[in-house]
Amino acid sequence: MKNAYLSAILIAFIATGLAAKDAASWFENAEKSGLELKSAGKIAFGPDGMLLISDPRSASVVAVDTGDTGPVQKLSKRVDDIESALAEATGSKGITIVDMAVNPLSGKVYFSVNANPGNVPHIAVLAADGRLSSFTLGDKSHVRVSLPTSENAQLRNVTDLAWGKDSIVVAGQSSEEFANKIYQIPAPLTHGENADFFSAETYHVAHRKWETKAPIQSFIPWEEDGEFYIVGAFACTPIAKFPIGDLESGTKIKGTSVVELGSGNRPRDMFTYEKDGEEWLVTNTQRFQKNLFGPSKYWAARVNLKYLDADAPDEINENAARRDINAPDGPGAKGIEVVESLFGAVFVSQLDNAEVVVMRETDPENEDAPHAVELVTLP
Amino acid sequence: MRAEGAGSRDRPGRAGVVFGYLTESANLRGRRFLPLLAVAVIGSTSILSADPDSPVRIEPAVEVVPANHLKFYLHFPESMERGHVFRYLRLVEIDEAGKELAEVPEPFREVELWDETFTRMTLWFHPGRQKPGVNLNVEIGPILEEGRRYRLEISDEWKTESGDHFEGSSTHEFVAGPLDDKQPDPANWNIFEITRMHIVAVKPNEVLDPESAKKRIHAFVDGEPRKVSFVNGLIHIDVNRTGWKSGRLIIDPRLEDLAGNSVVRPFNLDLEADSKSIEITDPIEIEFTRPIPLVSPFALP
Repeated sequence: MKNAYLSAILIAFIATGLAAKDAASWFENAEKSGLELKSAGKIAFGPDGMLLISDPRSASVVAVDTGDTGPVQKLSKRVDDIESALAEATGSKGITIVDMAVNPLSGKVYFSVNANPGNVPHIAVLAADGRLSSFTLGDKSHVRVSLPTSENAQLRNVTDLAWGKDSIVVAGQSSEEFANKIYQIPAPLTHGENADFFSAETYHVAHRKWETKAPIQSFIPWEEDGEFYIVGAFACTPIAKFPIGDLESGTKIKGTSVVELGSGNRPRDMFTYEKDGEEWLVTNTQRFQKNLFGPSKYWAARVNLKYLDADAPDEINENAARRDINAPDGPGAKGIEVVESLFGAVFVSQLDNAEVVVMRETDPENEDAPHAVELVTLP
Repeated sequence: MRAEGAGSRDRPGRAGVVFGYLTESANLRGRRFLPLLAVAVIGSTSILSADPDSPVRIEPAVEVVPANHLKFYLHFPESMERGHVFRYLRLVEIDEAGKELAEVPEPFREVELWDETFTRMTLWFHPGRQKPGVNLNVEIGPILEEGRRYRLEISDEWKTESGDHFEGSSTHEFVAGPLDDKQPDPANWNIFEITRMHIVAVKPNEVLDPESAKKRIHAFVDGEPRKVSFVNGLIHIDVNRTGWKSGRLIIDPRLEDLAGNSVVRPFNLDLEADSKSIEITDPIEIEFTRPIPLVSPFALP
């Protein structure tokens, strides 16, 4: 998955003279062994090779010191039929891929999978030479943080998680109500229930209504003028930002919609990069209907980060910038463009400022067709 | 049958029953409600009997849902395989005889939401299509249309976590009723005691989301917490003895109905058009003291 703090992680790595800390230095009273997942959920990378794994069955997030701190060896070739390779690596008859995340410090690609039968959770690793192996968790230093139980029921369905501002940020969605919460788990990470939580509201520009319960599908941590935000994408793709820096736990926060990409898309991953002096936010989405402007329901847009600065009434919410469907790219798109190289991308995870690892469809007409994993250079 | 208690008055109900209703207030914040011992007719909620052959229990098990209905809960007897579940689910429009007329295209919000045992999945209709007047609703139309009949189908190809299949598909037929833009309104809930069962029953002003209700409604009798269950559209409070004196129902205002309207606010609130609406954020308490109206278990609404 993406990590908007990728640059910060890499800068910290370089600033420490390439002598990276181990991820366990972010932990307090970590367990040294014995880690078992009850289920496999969304994954992401934090600093120093820290793998973040959501475990929906236990309503918790696990931070693992992988010991995988580099050096970077990029995926050297496209891997076809990743499903079969993962099944072989996990010794199972078949697997379902839950999520994918590349470790920016090593270039290795991690997969969160359910092995069948039994939905047995596994983490698997794809090395630069295309070899896949099961990742052993049992001997790794780790902490397990439970999501808060304070409101009768935990929001165990984690739709996304990321590292930001020395903390794990988690978006959880209710199963019973059209609601979600943003959790922040500050370092040092320790066992137990110690997450702050915030309610989230956003004005959904496509609906021209207040969406009090618009669940966050994907997000990135974001800083602007000293304020800490998360920038989130919702079920119908308005991109909104939420200030969470100075709020008390339990505070209700309302988002500000800054970009509308068009209705009927389900956001999947988000990340940022810089090229030729322009900064871009990329989100890949799954279109609700057949896509009329590309070869796949899976497509991606990049948005000039200047749009995130919007805060004037004529720039936000119902007046937020919209993607021009008649101008997919170029000057006419005004900084909200379709990314051709990400058509068919089911998962996108950022390796560095120039490249992402993509798991993409091989046959958009056949949902049972195997997927391929490859490195893609950003436009 | 008479509703008991000072100040009560009787009037025959449609099903031969009487009941009490609660005070109503424009501002519910922090208010406690005492049942007024007046009497009115209990509305009816058509409840489908469970299909004994269906391996999957589907909630809400009501025959009529609002056309802007949001979700079903699928209860499986075992943990289920996950990851590609929407290929096993269909929504079809049917005629009176159950004959398929057409498959409803793309009805579901394809996000898998499970409980901790992976035996209950929340199946959302796509909210963008179910909200009147919003983008997907306008562009490709609503999922449900008032007056039409539908069948939710769960394929027997869907495996359990252990790799087994259930025998037979599971289906649930229902009719789309009028759009629901009303909020659950505890001020208009009716409360009565079911005779000889040690049960106090509460009939909400509309059908509640069953899982939201389980999470958001709590009861106390003579100061002790009591089990709350939900039976055929009624809230059952197990008073557990004959000599109880008084009780309290505590309702978290995040409680939702089938269309996602909560006590806090309607699902489709337009703040500009509805700027005077009041958000209810404090828990609502309903107090009831014996005697309250009595209803026979054979004449329940």
